[in-house]
Amino acid sequence: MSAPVSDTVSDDDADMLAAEYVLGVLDAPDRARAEDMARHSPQFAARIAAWEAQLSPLVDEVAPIVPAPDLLHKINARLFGARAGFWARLLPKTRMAGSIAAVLGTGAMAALSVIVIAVMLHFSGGIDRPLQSATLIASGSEVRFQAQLDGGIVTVLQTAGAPPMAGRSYELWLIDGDAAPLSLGLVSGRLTLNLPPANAGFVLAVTDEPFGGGPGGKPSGAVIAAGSFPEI
Amino acid sequence: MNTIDLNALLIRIAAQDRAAFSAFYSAAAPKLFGLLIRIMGNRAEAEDALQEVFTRIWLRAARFDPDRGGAMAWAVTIARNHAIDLIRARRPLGDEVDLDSAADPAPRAETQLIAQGEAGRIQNCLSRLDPAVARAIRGAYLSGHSYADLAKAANVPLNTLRTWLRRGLISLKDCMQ
Repeated sequence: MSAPVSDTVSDDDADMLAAEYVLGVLDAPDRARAEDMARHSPQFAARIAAWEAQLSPLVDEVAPIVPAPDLLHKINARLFGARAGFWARLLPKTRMAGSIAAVLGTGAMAALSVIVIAVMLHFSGGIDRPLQSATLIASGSEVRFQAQLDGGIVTVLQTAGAPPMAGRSYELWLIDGDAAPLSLGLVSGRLTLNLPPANAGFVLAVTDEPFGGGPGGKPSGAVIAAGSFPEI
Repeated sequence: MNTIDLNALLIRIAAQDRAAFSAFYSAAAPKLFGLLIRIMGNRAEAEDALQEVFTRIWLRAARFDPDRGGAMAWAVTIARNHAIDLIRARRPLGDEVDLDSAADPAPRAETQLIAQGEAGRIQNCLSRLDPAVARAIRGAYLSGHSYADLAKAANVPLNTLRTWLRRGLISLKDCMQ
């Protein structure tokens, strides 16, 4: 399905698109486009806010369910735990490292910041299920990918943020321990591939590269999203 | 649950107040968890999603603007957006849509009776729509069904469903104004 998403749609169409976005009926690429429109058009963002306000009373129909008692502890550990605090203190340096990496184009710096961000975001325990999923995000980046691992096949799908700028590409990397980042290809909306052999705890990262990918098969641009699958 | 209290808690969370965060969690987590279970379809994924949602609530609290809506509606938006992103990312991988669960029940009579204020208004307006369209709007908002899911459940072409739903949304908006 393709929604008539553009900046030139009529007011009525824009209002319907906002409603469809808030209802959640759009598919992932159209959702991403609507979010992009909301970032660039305050009027469209206001339409979304109006529909959110109008529809949110529907939630009264949902029966509350009390979560497991340890869940708040897990969230607190993730946000404020000893390890979380440690990584949070590192984060400002990481941002700096990210910009240094962007300037110097050193893959090692990019890989380091990926690992720091990924570890910070993903040390909550895994859940035993055959199909694993991970959210790839990075601090300061609106771009977001959802990765799924199913029987050695990885699918990465962009779920938020803008597509690459003209003349740029998003490139997916496998970071396995101390090994140099391995390019898994360019992600244009969605990418499916067989996962190369990797150790548990490997990280998937997406960088913003020159069109066609990082020169010499190495990451040269900023890390815009990263994450890892919870270890089973 | 008092809306004003939740707004005040969220403003304190923006100032890094962890006690306020715990209080907000106690008040809001059951509703958000119920919503996430409904959209994700299973408890394990809903728990993962709830952790992410509260992480975002902490990190984004400073962006909350009480003039633009209540704290609960703000948190519901974060939860729904995250859950819908997750299921839109997984469905193309071959997960079968459960057609039975795609047919959302209308709220029970007692729920309708106790619905008041804003909730009463939207229920009243939905009840004036074609029941199939009202069901589709509820199914989309509360269970995260996509156009493709809804068309499959109603056994109509996607574009037909879309036309119905858009018409329903226009009537709903007119009724709510």
